[in-house]
Amino acid sequence: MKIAVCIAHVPDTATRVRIGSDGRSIDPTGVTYVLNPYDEFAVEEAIATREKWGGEVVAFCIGGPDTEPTIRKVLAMGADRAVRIEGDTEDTLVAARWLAEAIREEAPDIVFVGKETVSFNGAAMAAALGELLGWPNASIVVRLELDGQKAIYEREVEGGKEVGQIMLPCVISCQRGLNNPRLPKLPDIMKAKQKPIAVRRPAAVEAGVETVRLELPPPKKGCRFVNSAEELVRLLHEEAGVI
Amino acid sequence: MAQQAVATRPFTGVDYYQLDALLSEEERMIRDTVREWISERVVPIIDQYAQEARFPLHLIPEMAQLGILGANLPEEYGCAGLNSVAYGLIMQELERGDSAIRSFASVQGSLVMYPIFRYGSEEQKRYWLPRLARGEAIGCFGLTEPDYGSNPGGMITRARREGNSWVLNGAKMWITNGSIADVAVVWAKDEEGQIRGFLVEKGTPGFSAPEMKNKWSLRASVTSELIFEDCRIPLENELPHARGLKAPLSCLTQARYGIAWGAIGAAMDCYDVALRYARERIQFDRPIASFQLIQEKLVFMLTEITKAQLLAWRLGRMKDEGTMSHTHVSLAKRNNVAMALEVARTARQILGANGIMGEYPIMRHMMNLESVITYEGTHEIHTLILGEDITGIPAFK
Ligand SMILES: Cc1cc2nc3c(=O)[nH]c(=O)nc-3n(C[C@H](O)[C@H](O)[C@H](O)COP(=O)(O)OP(=O)(O)OC[C@H]3O[C@@H](n4cnc5c(N)ncnc54)[C@H](O)[C@@H]3O)c2cc1C
Repeated sequence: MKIAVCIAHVPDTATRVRIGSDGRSIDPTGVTYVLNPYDEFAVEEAIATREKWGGEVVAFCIGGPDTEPTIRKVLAMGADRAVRIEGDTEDTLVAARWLAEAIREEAPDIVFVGKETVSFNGAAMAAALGELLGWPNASIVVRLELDGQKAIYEREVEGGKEVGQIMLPCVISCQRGLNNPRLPKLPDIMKAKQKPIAVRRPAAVEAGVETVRLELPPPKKGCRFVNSAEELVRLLHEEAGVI
Repeated sequence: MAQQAVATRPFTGVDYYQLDALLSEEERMIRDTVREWISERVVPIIDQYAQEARFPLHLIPEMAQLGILGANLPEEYGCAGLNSVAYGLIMQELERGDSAIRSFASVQGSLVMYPIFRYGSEEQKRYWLPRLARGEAIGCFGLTEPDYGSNPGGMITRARREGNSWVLNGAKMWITNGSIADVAVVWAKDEEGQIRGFLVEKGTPGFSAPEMKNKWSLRASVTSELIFEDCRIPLENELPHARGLKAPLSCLTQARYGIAWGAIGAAMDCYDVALRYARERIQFDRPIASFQLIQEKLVFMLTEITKAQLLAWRLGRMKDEGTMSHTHVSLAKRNNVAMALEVARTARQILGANGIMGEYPIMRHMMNLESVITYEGTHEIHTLILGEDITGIPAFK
């Protein structure tokens, strides 16, 4: 079985993000970048699938050479090789076109992506990839059982869960709970150095979406301790005006 | 592992002098992997284990799985084959969790696997090293005796040859992992007074390892006595290439090297917690971090940690180049552990009363470091080792 997994290199949510001088991008100085946390579930599922069914895991990542530590981490976790798409875009559709183009050449049986990136929170990649590849997709999947040409999935829906069947090849977006992502073994970190990362130049695609401005959330007001329930009710009514 | 990331305490490592640039990408990834493991698996539970004076045994297979045990020994014996800097960074991260976790790994790797690797027969290596690396066997190292600590050359434990056996008599004390060990590396004198190393397996008649209770330091580590009463072991359990005090001392050099890094981990944790606390704790209507006296403490900690990092990094590169001597290790162990203890005490003050609580790691690190400054050569003994090296005059007695 050939398994594809799409990975993103994103700012760690624990680092303090500053907006760059252009007002529409993140200032990268002092920011640590990590593998997108939801992609960890995708990578784990890809590797576990290969461990069960055999085959190969190929990771796909859009970005410059600075994304290589993240790609190496995925190789250390167990992916067999990687394709880095030399490009930079904030338009999901452009990213999906680039990824679809690269994935189509590999003709995998299944594609795993994270539910969303923690940087842009678009949550549209699985649908866009499915559409472009002409394959069915299931998003926000929390359980998956492969069975030859099809898979049974469980996904989160508002207030409950949905169980469905999906034909391969397909695109699956992975949500927390699907699995327990492994840490790379230390000797595998050394071996990841030898695994190949192919670099490809994507076709020029006009972006349809562009960020105009980024804003930080207003600073938190801090918390106040009150001494009694009566006082709390009075403040909620008189000051906050919520009751 | 994204999923528990929220449940655990945040931690930012210290890198004020951009020392990360001196590390390879693999060395950084190894450090970050162990850091993540510590955050997820050790930080949430370690206070309880320390309070209850228990070692978290369930972490041993996880450490083994990651490749932590004997990580700098070669792959042909089932180890990770990492370089010395990577090994040091692992020790640093383990000790950020707790000195007990680092002590476990130091003893297993540097004091049990290393002597078997360096002084053992090929059969001993093939039999023990993969098992110890997989965590299926636990080891301990018995050198110190009730009456011989800083002066191990005076040891009383004796090994007598009788036919196809060695017969051991004597007692060791303060032995980390003793009661949980499957194999003890024991140092004893033969009838000619020559020090030799022996592998004594758990369950051998005449061998017992009662735990030493009621410690106020390294509470999450097992410390034991080893007692040998006509304990008979086969001849092939002797380490054939170890002769004289320099054999156990060479193992201590390995372990002390790891401690020089480990201490930085404990210090970074104390600093990180103290910095966060100082920014948030309000007194006299202002965060205590705004007071000059507090800033001075924080700056002191940062400076000392940065200096210690440089020492450890250089020591590691020298070790890999083959230019490191045991006196270099003494300097780094001596400095870095004393530094960490001072940082822990300073952090404790910044946290005020909260500093003594188990909810914060400070007091636990501080008490642990009281052992770390004593074991593996006391602070004073390292002073004398360096003093002799620079003056040419031994001042031990
Ligand atoms: C938690 C813990 C775990 C340990 N684990 C192990 C283990 O796994 N294996 C093992 O073999 N040992 C272990 N040890 C023992 C440790 O190595 C010894 O405690 C250490 O070597 C010091 O010996 P001592 O305690 O007998 O102190 P002593 O040697 O009695 O020293 C007492 C004091 O006198 C000072 N002193 C001694 N000689 C001189 C001198 N010539 N000049 C100036 N000052 C001097 C010392 O620095 C110290 O301050 C452990 C100890 C602890 C606390």
